Amino acid sequence: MFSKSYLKNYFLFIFFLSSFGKSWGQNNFSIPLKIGYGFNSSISLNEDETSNVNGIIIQSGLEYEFKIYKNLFAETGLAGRAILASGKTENSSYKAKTLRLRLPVKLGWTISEKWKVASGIAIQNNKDFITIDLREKYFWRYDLLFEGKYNWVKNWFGVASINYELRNLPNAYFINDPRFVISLGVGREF
Amino acid sequence: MKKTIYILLLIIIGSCSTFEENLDDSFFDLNLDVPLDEIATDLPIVNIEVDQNDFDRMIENFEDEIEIEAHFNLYRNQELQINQELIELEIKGNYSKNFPLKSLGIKFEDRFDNRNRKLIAPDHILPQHSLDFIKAIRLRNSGNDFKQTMLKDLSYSQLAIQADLDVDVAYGEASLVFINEKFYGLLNLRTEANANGMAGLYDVKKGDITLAKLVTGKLLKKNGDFPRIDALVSAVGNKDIAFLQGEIDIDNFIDYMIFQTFITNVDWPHTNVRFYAIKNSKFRFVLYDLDVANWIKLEEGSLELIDKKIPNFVSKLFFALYEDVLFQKQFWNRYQEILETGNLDEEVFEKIVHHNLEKIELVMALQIEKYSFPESMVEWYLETDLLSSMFKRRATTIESIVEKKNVEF
Repeated sequence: MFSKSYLKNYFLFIFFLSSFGKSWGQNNFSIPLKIGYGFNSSISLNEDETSNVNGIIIQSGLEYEFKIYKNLFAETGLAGRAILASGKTENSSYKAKTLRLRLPVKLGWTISEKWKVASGIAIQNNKDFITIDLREKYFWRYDLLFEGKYNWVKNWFGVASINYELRNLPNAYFINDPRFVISLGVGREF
Repeated sequence: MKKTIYILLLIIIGSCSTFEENLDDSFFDLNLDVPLDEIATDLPIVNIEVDQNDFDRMIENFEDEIEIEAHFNLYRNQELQINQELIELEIKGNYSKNFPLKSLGIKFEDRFDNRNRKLIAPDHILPQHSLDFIKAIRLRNSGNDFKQTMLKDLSYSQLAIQADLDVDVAYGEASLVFINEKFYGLLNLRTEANANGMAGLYDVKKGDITLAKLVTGKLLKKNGDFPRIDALVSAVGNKDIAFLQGEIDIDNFIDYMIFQTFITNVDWPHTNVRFYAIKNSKFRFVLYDLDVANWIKLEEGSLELIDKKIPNFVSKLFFALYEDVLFQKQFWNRYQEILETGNLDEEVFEKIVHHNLEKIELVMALQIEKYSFPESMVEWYLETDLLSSMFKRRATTIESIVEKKNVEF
């Protein structure tokens, strides 16, 4: 969907933006808690259309932010994501509970004392760690992330994010873990 | 913060997905609690009559290679076709023996007369093969694919047959298996790829077959003229290309290597290899156990797939022959030629998978209820969908690899 050159240009643009603006909070840990809604466009399984494949996403973890240059910062961490999805196939309906581990890597820009934006990639296991061989082609998924943070009380912030699966995975992987996710949450810095 | 780290570690360990599903009523149309000749299915129904204590002992001690006597019955379209054939029954497989539904080997006392296609009736048979007389069959749990689709080996074998390649294959079809009229599971009723199987395919005596197999890189001489196998192994070691060309059916070997690399069979060529010769004819290779195909290494080139870390006879043989430029040219030209026929196109494979899926769909619901592998129909649909998706992606990759190679020549 997104070529390598597109991503390269995209990060250069983020870097360019970073040379402007004021700074807010640097080199700190934070724990965000996000709740979101995940959905797909249309997907088919074995040539049969599925319907209403969507889910609630709950995500939390530990993130570390560090300053790179002026207002440019990087953020990484480790998060757990629970996906409560449901849907209908040609002749059955299902509910799926999925637990996954995510590793986000983001570049961000501090706009003001209150606002930050960031974007990057999140790597997430697409299959269970215990049962599947890590060499499997689609063991990992890569999501493109866009995130905005608003610092409304000391050490507390609100966060909104959008992510989209980048790897053009086979449709089957989206029935319990949708391709698009929009989420909102709160977090605390330490 | 420490707590957060511990929780994340727990997620790594516990990362999982579970499905709860409601199946439509149509899934419960297939009722197995009726007499066997009243079960409404297109699949063959096998019923093995055996001393239950002997059978349970064999299952419990599955590593002990126990053989027991039993009687074999088979129904097709609600009619008893095979009645009380005396057989030797044993558990088959390697790693797959550990699964709760075990593969069963069946050896008939005499060769079974299959001219009326009562025992096994595949949709297509290669012109050089005969399924008229069968000494042994296997009721197979699909090996490594048992927890996923139960369709892989069957579908890839059917693809090779339909593609009209110069290969020898194991023929099979899905079947419902009962032990003493109690549902045992969905197993693939399949011809053997051993000396009995090859003797049957070419309608010759088992004594006419010289056969060896590879298990995790180790070559095992199984039947026939062992000094001839030794001479072949020596010639591979010495890279005696002229001798090898005289002993190997090159057309078959090339088609065999093409198909195995086309489907990215990573459980090969260090293992799952059998090659044989009938009397003094050239050695040919058999396609079988294609359960670990198109799963990983989908971007890998054919030569890289053959070049295994575990040293083995097939890789050495291939690269000995590959030193000859004419062989290289023949290999890549044939690869291109096969791809251009369109017989290995994704649409062909998708059609095969869909056909097989529809045949076993209702039984899979019962299999899942009994064995919980996979855990739900949704997961089975997911895996079967991946079977086609992975094939499609592999086909695209290999087409560009073959095209580049052919430009070199």
